[in-house]
Amino acid sequence: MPFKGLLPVFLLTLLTGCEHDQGTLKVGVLHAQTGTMALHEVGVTAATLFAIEELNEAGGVLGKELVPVVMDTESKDELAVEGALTLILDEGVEALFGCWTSSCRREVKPVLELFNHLLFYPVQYEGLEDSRNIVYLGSLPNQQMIPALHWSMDQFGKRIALVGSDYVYPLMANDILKQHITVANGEVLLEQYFPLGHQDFKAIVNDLKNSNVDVVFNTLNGDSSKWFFNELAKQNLPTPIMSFSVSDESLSQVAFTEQNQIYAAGSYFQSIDTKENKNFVERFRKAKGENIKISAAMISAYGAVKLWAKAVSKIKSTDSSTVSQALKGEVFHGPSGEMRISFINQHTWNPLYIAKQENNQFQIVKSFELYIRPITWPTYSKKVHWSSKLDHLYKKWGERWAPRSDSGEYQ
Amino acid sequence: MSIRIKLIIAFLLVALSTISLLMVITINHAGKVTSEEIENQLNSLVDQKLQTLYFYIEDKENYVANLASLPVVNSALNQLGTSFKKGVNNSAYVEKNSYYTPLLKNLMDQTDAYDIFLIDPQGNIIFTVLHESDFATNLLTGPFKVTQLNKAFIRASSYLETKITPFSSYTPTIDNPGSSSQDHNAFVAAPVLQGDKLLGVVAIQLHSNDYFHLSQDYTGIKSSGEIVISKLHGDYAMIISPLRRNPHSAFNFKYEIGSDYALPTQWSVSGQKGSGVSVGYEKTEILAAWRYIPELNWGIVVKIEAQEVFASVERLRRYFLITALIMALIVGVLAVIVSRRFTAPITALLKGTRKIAHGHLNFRLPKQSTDELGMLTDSFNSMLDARQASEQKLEQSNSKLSMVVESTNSGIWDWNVQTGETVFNERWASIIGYTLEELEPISIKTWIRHCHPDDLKNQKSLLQAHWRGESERYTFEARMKHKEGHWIWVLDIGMLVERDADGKPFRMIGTHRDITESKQWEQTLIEAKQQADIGAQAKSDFLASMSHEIRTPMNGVLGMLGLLGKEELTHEQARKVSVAKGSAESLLTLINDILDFSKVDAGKIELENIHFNPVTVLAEIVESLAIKVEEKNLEMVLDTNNLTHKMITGDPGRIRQIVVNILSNAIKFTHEGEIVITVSSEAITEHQCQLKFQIRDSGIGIPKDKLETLFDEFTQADASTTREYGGTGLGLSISKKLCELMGGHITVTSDFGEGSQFSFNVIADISNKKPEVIHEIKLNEMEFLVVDDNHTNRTVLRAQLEGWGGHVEEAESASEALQILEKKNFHVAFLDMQMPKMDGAELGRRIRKNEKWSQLKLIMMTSIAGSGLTKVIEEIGFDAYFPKPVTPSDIVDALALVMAEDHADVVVTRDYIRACEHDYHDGDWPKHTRILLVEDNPINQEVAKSILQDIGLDADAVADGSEALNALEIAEEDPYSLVLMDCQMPIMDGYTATENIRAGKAGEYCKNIPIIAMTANAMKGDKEKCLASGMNDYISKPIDVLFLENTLKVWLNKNIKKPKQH
Repeated sequence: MPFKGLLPVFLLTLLTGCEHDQGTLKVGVLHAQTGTMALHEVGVTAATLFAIEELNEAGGVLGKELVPVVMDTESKDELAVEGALTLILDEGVEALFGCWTSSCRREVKPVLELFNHLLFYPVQYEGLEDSRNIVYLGSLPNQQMIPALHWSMDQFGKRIALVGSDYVYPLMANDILKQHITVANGEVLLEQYFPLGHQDFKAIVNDLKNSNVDVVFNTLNGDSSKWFFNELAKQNLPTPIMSFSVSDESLSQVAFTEQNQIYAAGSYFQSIDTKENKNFVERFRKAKGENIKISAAMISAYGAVKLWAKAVSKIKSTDSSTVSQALKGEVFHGPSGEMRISFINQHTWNPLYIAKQENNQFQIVKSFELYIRPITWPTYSKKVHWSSKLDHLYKKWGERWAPRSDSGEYQ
Repeated sequence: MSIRIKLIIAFLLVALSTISLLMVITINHAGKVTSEEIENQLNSLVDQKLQTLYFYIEDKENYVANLASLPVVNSALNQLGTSFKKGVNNSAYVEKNSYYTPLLKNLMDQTDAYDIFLIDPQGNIIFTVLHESDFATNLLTGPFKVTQLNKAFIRASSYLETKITPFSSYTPTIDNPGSSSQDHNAFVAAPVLQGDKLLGVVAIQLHSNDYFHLSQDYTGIKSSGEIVISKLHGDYAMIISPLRRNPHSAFNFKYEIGSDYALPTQWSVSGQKGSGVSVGYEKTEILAAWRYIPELNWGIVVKIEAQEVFASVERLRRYFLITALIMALIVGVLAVIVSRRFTAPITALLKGTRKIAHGHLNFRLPKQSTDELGMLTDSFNSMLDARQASEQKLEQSNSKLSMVVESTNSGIWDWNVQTGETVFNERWASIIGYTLEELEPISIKTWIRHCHPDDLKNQKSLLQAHWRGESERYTFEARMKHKEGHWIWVLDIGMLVERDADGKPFRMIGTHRDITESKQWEQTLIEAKQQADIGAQAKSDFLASMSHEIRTPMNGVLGMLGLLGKEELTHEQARKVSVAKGSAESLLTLINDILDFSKVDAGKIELENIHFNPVTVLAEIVESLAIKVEEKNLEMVLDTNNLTHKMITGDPGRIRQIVVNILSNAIKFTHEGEIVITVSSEAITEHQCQLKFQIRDSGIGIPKDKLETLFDEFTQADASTTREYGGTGLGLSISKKLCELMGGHITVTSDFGEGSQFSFNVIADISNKKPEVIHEIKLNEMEFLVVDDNHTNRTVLRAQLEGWGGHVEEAESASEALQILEKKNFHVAFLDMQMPKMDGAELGRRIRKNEKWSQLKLIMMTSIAGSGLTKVIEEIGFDAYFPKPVTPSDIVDALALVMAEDHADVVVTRDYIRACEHDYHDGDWPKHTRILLVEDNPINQEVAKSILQDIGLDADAVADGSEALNALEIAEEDPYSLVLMDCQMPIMDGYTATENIRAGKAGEYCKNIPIIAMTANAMKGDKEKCLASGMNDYISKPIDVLFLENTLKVWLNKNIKKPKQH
């Protein structure tokens, strides 16, 4: 009887057909582990890896283990470009998680668009960009700087100083800010930019001390912010400082005085008093070290991995176009609350807090309406206006997004 | 159960289980696929709705942002703003208003807005088209400050943002007649800037009718599909658009958050995104996809009733059931038919076989079909035929067999192994002269009784082996006692044919044959072979003794020719003598070779068992052949790097013979280039190693067709070779036999014209003797006895021994020696082997028999080497054994060894000494050692100096004897310790120089200085000449480092007394 032999074969085919395939999925992590940006990006890397570890513990994505490939950009943009190429072409990663500075992101962007690859970018930035190949999780000016500006002007007054690092983010962000200050009848008394990695802030702090500035807007990035804070403490500057690129990590080991008023605006502070946040801080510190400080960018980076995994699991594909489509309207409930990707642009709806330094930790003093809608291009000026400004900077710096620096660390 | 029933059941079982399995899987799969497909559909539908909605939002926002930059809006704000301050009823305002209203209404209509507003920076609504109650109120302070318009204004004026507000009820519009309270409105506002100054805000009002169509477009969803748009309203999710099944649902239906229905709606308004099976607002099971729209605080759900989704699956299930039933029916009917067709012929077969079983052997089954069953019928029939035929054959062969058995010449036996019951045939009995009757009662014992007891002993093991299956047949030859009393030979061939249930042997049968006659033949043959062997042996013996016998007179011939050659002869006579001598020498070589060969052939070669170091043996060979090599301007290289066994036990003489043979050939047949000797060794067991020799030359080579027969006796590569190069053609044959005797073999490869390569190997024992250490020895005050019939030999040896301070007595014969020994005690006696009347061996034997001479060391000196004497000499009890001539340093070393207390029980030979180590080897040279090197050839001078440097000695070099005398004389205050003297030199040669030194012409102090000759080793007499001129020792050129060092150690050693002056 020929059927008898076939039956088990038939059954076996059915059973094995259901077997899930095993393997790994590589993801790229493109952050500075050394150089001036390491201050921020080592923590971001840790948060990214922590999310990956959590996912792997829960069985991976699509039944596959996630394997992170970490490339050190050494705080150099050209190495970031090279790293992105390596990750995409040599390592064949499914997605990239990386960059801190806008110059880094803007340098990497053409590579992503060329190979139609997806980068998850976790840092607050100037906006004026909306690439289908980048998922922006950091706050835009309308989600962070502008509300903070109005709050500051109400609190401290309208005479303002702008201090920042010399590259595309501080310059363009302040450009937007200045428009708002003028319309609000405010005044910019002082505006100064320092090369990334700059350490000597004696003169500027002294200048501030001798001015009648009501509030200082600080967009220094990298370890410069620490040196700046040190100098503030040293010279005992009482003027309120509103910072946009700092978190608790920039405060450690600075001997602030009673007079120093250090504020920061951001989508997350470690001191947020929710059950979810406390639980996360505990979990994260257990895995990555008891003394680690958690920044908004780290929370974004953590959420980025989770959002990507959620989209991939839903559509059962890692193709970047499909993933980017699936990410529209996707939401992840993280330590900072909901992280929701906008349907209109590939940015997140972010909350906003203003916090004040107290015992070298930021304590929240003001919570804004929950989840501000991301607006990439301020509509009061035409897109072409912003584009030509960016273009001007790009050309001025010799076709790059930050001026050349003699130190060679950041170019 | 009959096959038929089984078949039917099996059919049904397989068919039904397959169908039901397929059904279950397909329906499950279909259900899954359907719901997945619908879910995907719902997802893409809800995303399409979102796309439309976002397009709407972006469109409105962009439009308003754009409005803000229009000059007309700018100027309207400016002019209306100015006139507004004077009051809206003021003619200035009215005029401007009527001017701008159609323009702005047009802009409003273009985007399907409900109304359009211009608001000044202070919040005054300075312009609307509809002039509802909000017109001319202040948004910050007026009655409508808690509206979405207020929020939109603040966003635009202070944050410069253009964002749509959520839809909600707007009082001014509700109050407007023609509107319903259910109308909801949203606003979009944008800042109008003039340079850096805020001029005001432009805003539009959107009506909820705008989006109602969103929920009313059902393209792509099934008949039960619905689109639910809702927003969070307190703790409720409020539906804000008409539903398919309820057009008045907007703002009327609301569901409490946390209730257990309308779940997707609840989820959507609380910000979630997803899809799946859930419970709808109608409390039915639904498949839905839900989204949140944060810009408007809306939730949107696209859903479909699960019942409708799975209706198709349900239908499928029904089809399947019907199909399954029909299939079962068909299969059942088929099963009945098929099984009947199958079983009918089988039943027929069954009947037929039963009939046959009942004895109807001639019955044949009727064939019913041509399929397998028909074939089975055929096979069954032919099996019956075959069985009948074979039964007939068996019957025939049985009768034949019994005939054969009775008439055969063989006896037959059949033995029950377990009971001993045995059956023999008549022939069995007649072989041993009986009849069966006479042997009654017959059992296995009958056989045992007649078998020869000696043969019986072997029988048991043969039988056991057969039983164990080791032999196919049991074969046994034995003697049986004949009735007439003599023994006859029989051959039993048997087989175990049965085993019992336990596998034990049960029955054996076999034959029994008289082989007395062939046994006798066999015996004859063996005897004949022995005879033949004895003949061959005799031949070899004859040849050996013949050769020996010929050799003796040949020696006479040669001796006489030698003497004749020394007499004064005419040129012609001298030539004739020389030819005769050459021929005689060739003949002697041939005879020696034949002797060797016949010895080998007759197995008469006895191998020595001497401890030796192969390196030194080879080095000596190379040294002895160096002259010939030098004459032909060839390179000779000895490579012993891979020789890991430095001390072995074997026959160095035979190895030397093989190597010399091959090497002589190599030298003979090589005209330019090099000869390379490579030796290596590897252990093959714990106690044995294999020595591998390889001799490669760059000579004329050997043609391929000659290679095979090269080692055959009396073969040479070419007949012409013999003419050109001489030789007996026995050398290689002897070498081959010697190799084989030593457990190895010899091979040759050659490229004609390119050179040849001979390889051979031998097996040797690894000597467990460590190289013995030769200690320093004091020879003064020692008593020596020299026994030799040759006067010169005695004188030379005496001179040497006395030179070192020993006391020497001489004896001319063995009997004289015995007499001297009776009178005096000696330490060492040197015995010559070849002496008339009583030879050295016999003398040694006598000495050793006498207890009182047990302490006397005996050293044998012989002029015949390699004759297997070692064994005899060792047995007698000699301590050392040397072929003549012996170098003085060898004598010193030998004496040091035999006199040492811890000396190993080994006969000391030259080979043994070479393998030993000198304990003063690594020690320092005596202080103030100065060496004078006398050598005319600058290259040789350099070589000698560098060798001396290598071993840690410096030498001053001079070019001839007279210079040497000068140098010695000048150096009186810092005297030389030793002179190395070349023999052949211009101006004054080495012999003369030595004589002069000994005569004191170089100063008194160096009369006794050790002088060591460096000879080219060309002639046998050279060494004697050196010693005769007063030199102390000699070394051969080219200089061997080891020999030089040893020799120098001996002579620089202070404990050896300097020789006396001659």
